[in-house]
Amino acid sequence: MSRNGATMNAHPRVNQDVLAGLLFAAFGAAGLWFGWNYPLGSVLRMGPGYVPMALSWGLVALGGVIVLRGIFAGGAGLERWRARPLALVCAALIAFAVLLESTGLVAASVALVLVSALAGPQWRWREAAMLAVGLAIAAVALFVYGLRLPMPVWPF
Amino acid sequence: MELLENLALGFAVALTPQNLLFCLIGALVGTLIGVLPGIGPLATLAMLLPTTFYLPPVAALIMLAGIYYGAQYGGSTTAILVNMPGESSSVVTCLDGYQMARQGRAGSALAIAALASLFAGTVATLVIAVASPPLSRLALKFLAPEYFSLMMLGLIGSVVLARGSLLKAIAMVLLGLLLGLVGADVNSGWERYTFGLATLGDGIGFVVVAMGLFGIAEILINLESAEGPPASVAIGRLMPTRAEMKLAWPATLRGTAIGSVLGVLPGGGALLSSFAAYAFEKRISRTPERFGAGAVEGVAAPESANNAGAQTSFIPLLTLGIPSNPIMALMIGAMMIQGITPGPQVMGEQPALFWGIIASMWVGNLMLVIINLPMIGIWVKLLEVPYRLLYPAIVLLCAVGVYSLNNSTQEVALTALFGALGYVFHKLGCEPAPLILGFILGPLMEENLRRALVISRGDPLVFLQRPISLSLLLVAGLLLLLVVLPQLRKTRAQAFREG
Amino acid sequence: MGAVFRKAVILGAIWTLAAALAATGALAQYPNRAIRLIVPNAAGGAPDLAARVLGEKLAARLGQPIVVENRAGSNGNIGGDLVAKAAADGHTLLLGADSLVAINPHVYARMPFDPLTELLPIATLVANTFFLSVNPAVAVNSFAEFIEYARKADPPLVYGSSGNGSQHHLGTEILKQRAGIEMIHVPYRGGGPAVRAAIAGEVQVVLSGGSSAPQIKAGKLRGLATTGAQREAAFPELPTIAEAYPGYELKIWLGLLGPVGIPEPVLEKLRAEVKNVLLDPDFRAKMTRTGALTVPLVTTPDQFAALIRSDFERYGRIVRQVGIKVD
Repeated sequence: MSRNGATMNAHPRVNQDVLAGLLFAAFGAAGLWFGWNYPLGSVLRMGPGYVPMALSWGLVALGGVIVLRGIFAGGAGLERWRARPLALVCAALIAFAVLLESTGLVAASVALVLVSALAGPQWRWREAAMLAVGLAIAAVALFVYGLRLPMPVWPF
Repeated sequence: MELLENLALGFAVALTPQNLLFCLIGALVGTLIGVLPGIGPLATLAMLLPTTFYLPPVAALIMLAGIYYGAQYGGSTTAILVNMPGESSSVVTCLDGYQMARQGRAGSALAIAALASLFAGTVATLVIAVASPPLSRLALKFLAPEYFSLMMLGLIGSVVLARGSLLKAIAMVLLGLLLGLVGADVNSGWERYTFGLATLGDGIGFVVVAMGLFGIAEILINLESAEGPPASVAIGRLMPTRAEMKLAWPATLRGTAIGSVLGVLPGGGALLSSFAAYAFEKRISRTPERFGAGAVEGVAAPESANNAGAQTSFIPLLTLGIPSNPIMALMIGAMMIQGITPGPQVMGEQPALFWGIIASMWVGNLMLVIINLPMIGIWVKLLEVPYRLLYPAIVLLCAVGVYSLNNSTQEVALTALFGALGYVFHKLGCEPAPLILGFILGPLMEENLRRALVISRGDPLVFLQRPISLSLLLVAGLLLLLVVLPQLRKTRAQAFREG
Repeated sequence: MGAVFRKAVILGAIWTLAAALAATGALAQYPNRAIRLIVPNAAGGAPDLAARVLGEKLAARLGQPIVVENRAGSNGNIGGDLVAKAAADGHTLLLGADSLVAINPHVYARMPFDPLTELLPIATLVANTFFLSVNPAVAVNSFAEFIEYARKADPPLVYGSSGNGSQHHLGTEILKQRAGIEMIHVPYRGGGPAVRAAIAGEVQVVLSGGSSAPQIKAGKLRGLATTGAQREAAFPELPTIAEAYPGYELKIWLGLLGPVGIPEPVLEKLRAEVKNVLLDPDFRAKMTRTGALTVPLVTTPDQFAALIRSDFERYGRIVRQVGIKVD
């Protein structure tokens, strides 16, 4: 990716390829672990477990190859990771999910906007509060009154 | 000249002031819900269904159809502006459309998307008028072995979508296939990888995956830079340049052809068409490295394919009375409540209705362009809103949109998970597009593979004995060679240089 | 602080009072706000269409809007669970198919709730019978010929269904048992794809709802029999399966259900108004159009309860014999 300003072989032993390979292998291992009891059937009469098992083994194997290639052939180095936006934007969505059906669209929207605004580099209380109120009103007007989507607006 | 007479009849119906009005309403509502990420035409059509009880049948169907293709149209706007695939079909438009927007070419991208769609819509309307019967016969020749072979071809094509490492792209496809298998297995009813979560019983929602990996992940990446991203990109011209038009034109032609054919196939045909058109363009391009970095063809081809496919997916409905997707099922319901039984006899028994709807499709497409071209200026202005104010609004739209799909809060939380995953993938140099395609193809491929083997009583030769299936597999094999050979040569060359 | 506290107490008291008033008001004057009608299937399917038509008619009679809400998933379990746990004031109702109450408990190893005891049957709405049909390339012209053909067929005939454990699947299995024939089951994602497969010849046999009537009329499928107790007025030439195998009857019904504990007056009002809608000729016309064999089904509460019991036992038997289980 052009925006990925990473340099080649910055850290020869821990690079993008090694971690990506480990991630794929981990997904494959999880697929094997959780799918271990699904009936396999045979090639010509496949059970529900056949294809998931084949794919999981494939991911483990391919992940391994990518790790090895990363170690021996090198790969793009890692960039700095930033946990703050990641944690806060996800938290904002989860807050919305938790609040929507119990407290309604207004409270859930305000919570989502406030928490996700925290993730930004230029956080200002007044501005975020105004944005939250404005977007909550807009959301209610658009989705509940405009498109008549079925969802609660208030907690009562 | 029967065709001309039929079209004349159709336009006489479609151009009455009343039907024009309902066409306009449908196109406007459709554009709105298309622009809103996640809010799909299905929820809106279902909600509006009772209001159509009091309309004359033609007007009701024209309005509902307008919503359907209006939504396809609107979806690309969000994809281009904020990398949020508003509709499942606009995932591919994100790849190059959003890059164009980042380069200050949002206006061009939007205009090309609109014009390519209009062209595709025009051609596809003619295709419906002329070739409905043969195309629906072709669709009936597609049985389980053909579907499996088509999916195989799509899968190999998906690797072409990738820009970086081939191995990582293949791994992403495999992961997408695996994620696509979550939920109840059609063949046995067995629930796989659901972890007891009711939401996962019917699988992970496509929009959840696409919005997480594209939209939310993009926001996370943008928030990394302290000054916030490119809110300040110089907004260039609103209309495409002559050079851009020259590139877009042939891509539109090819996209239209691919979309028109694939759209007829029920079960994912229309969805596959935008991917197929994009992969095809990239494959035949002399400069494939421009794809994913703002290539005009990368917008024109999938947009035209997607719109043509949306149009021709009416063919099975109009000629056989069989829906090719849930939206078409709803259209059938709407027709039946109006007292029209869709099926082989509609064309003969109710020609005014049949041809009226077809003519209105074209009118609707024209309207969409007329509505949308002047709006490009407004949309582009949206990009001038400071990002710190824009992104919370996008997250909110995304949350409400995902919720509206199944009224499920668990899916909203799942979107956060896929957003995080998308961020990790970005950091590890893995591209999401192959995963998305694997995710679409996975369940279809497994379902048809197992079905074909059950029906042939375990004879794997069934895939080679049927001519359509065989030719699809041959093309897939050829494509595989084309993808793998240069790669091998490259590694060998590298090895020699290093050795 | 004291003043704030006092204010809070007064506010709280007003709230409680208001809530109490609202609760008694709900009894006295039902409905006093919009009714949520949960459809445990995706938009566009038969239950959804029925809900839209019913909702529109019922809202006019009850004087409050009815908001149809799709909560699809796990063959209706998700939506059913939501309604079972909702407040029993008549403002949250379920429009469910028989499979939720009569099949899911047998098929699912873990049910989130017990549909038999945690859902209250309010009224039946519509019922529809099925067509048994074959691809026209199959050389049979009558139901009797079909049974003979299927008995001799080697390899056995293949039939399509709208899914594992669906009524289409179980109904065909019951027929296989009664007739002593063998056919191979191929499930699809819903009835539409199964009908398409039968037209294309991927499967030879299909048991399908009234939406396949136009295919039969147009000769794309060859109709052999219907599954009701009597022959259908629209297809008098087709025998019922029961003529050959007495007692065979396959009927899907949709019903209105609610959480247990809805007050009696509310129930009475709902049942009366639903009955009025079912007797409305316009409702009948709209429903009949959505499937040639779909008709309003008016029953008394006792009949409805008996219907659930008998379907529950019948499907239970066949599920155990065929061995269908979802873990």
